[in-house]
Amino acid sequence: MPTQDESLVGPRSIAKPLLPQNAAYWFMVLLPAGFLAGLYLTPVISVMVRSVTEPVIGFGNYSVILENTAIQSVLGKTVYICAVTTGLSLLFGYITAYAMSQVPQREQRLMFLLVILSFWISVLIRTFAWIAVLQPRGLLNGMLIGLGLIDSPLRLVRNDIGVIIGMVHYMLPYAILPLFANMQTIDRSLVPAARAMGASPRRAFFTVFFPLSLPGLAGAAILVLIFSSGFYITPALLGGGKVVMVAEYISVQMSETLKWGLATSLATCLMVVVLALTMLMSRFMDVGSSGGKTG
Amino acid sequence: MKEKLTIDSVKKLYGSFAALDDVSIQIDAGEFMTLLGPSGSGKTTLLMTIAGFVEPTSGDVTLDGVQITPLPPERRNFGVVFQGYALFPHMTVWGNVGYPLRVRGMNRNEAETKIQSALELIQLSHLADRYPKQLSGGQQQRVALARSLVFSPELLLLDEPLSALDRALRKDLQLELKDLHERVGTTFIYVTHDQEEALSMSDRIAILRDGRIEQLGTPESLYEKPNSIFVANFLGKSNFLPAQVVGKNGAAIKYEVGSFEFNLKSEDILELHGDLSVALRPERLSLRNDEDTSPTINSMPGQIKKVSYFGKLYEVIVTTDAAGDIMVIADLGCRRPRVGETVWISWSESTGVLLTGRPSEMDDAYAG
Repeated sequence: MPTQDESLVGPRSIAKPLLPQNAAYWFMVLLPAGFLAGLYLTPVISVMVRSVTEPVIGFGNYSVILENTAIQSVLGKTVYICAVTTGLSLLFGYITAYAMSQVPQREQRLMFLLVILSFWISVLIRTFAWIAVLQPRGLLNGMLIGLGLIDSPLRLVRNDIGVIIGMVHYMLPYAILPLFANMQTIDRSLVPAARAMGASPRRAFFTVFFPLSLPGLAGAAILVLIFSSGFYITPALLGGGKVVMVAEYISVQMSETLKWGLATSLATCLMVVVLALTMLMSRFMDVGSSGGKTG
Repeated sequence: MKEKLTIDSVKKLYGSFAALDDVSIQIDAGEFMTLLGPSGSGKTTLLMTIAGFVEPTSGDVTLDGVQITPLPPERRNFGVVFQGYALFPHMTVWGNVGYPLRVRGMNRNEAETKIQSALELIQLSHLADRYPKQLSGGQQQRVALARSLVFSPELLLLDEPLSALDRALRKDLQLELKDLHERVGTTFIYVTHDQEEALSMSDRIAILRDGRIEQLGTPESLYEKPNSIFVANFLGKSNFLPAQVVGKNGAAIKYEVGSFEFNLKSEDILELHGDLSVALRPERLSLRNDEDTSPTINSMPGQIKKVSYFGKLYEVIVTTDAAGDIMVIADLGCRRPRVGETVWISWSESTGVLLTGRPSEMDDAYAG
């Protein structure tokens, strides 16, 4: 009986329409590519062009950046705030991610949800909430004075502390998630194995778990650094004009002093730094390997 | 090395669930002891209790008379080989094997000699610079062994070390492990759910079930004299025939299967009650053609239902009126048994064990 049917169910019916499928594939690739070129690449290029053409053609704006002490201090402040934010985010993020990787599955899911949850609240609302908590007559100072722990309110806004608190709070999920993803890949029997071989819990952690979590730590560090280098709303509001980071400075040059040339050249510098960091990150986090799998 | 490990009525409760329920074993120095059982029987919990990762709810673990129950794993000086080997991926083979020596603060020269000889023991000196992921499964397994033996531990605990390997490799490594055990002389405590592994390597086997030790003894004694249907079923294949004890015949017990009478010579005092089964190993039964001499004692007729040939041996399923299907594994020479043929199954007076219970309730635990 099967001899008859075999001729009917030949290879004919399996792989025929190559062309329409291929066309659809290219359509799906080219559409977003065109979208990006039109709406993203064009303005970026125009920013770069403006930075060397306004007010006059040449690299005058870049030499101002290198010489002007006000700009230097803004850049210095940016580097300082970013470094402290990244350091603290990594510290708290590592502790949280480590806890998440060690607890049973049910607790782990709950913790994961809580971390994700913070993405749902806009940065503006969060920043205003921090102002309400941290200002001189805010929640925290009120409580501390009420408890008699301090006499006069602590200065927690309109300075570095306020900006750092707000930024660390915003950045924590960006530190936790890559760290957690990395820690999930560490074999759970490695630390017990180290202990069975005579290592104390602390030693087992520092010789086995920690070195294996370094790629996650590097990825998280660069991600947080990239995001915080361009931070605008949080430093502007919690810094209250006293703590000016580069993004806010660019905005002021654009909308108030109308020095577009200087603003665009600073933006270009920022972009170069972010691009460099992104490339560095892709080495730790397999960014490139996720694409290109068509077959 | 003459440490003796004693596990004294150890109990481990998780909530109301008893993972270990009053387990006691004495393990002699240099012994190869296997903890065998199906998953969930508590064998790994028992191993981890010995290693120090699981704190027993009650009971004691002592080594050479010294209580070690409160000691953390790092202070017990036991080697542990984990199921997935747990090699450190960021260290080379050399680094992995040297780890236990580094945490002990051993000086460089002495450590180097020890690592070298551990690597020679497993014949992997030439791969010292490789990372674990550059090694095959069998090589990783050997590195894990070297790493757990390099610091001359008092005991070596192995948690299903061969389960991730394919069948052929498993056979080779069984022999290697057995050989390694003889060369180093360390006590091995070996957890597995594979009865073949247990039978071929162990000095003694403890069969665990639901957190209890079902039976403890040498492979031979467990195979020949199982004390329960569970053990008879878990170790090798058995036929279970419903039996009734009808009296004594000198030193032998007289029992009936259906209307056929059998004798069983047994020095053991049997405590039997309720429904009984006689457990018979298929390879201890013999088949005779009905045209042969008239039936003698200890035999029973049936019809051949199915025949499979395995080179030297035939596996024959015989349907009997008295006890249903019976499996016989026998060397029948060149005479191929025919399906439908009437035959006599017989077994000697020293073959078989009388056990309490009937096998039906144990079907889910059948390991063959």
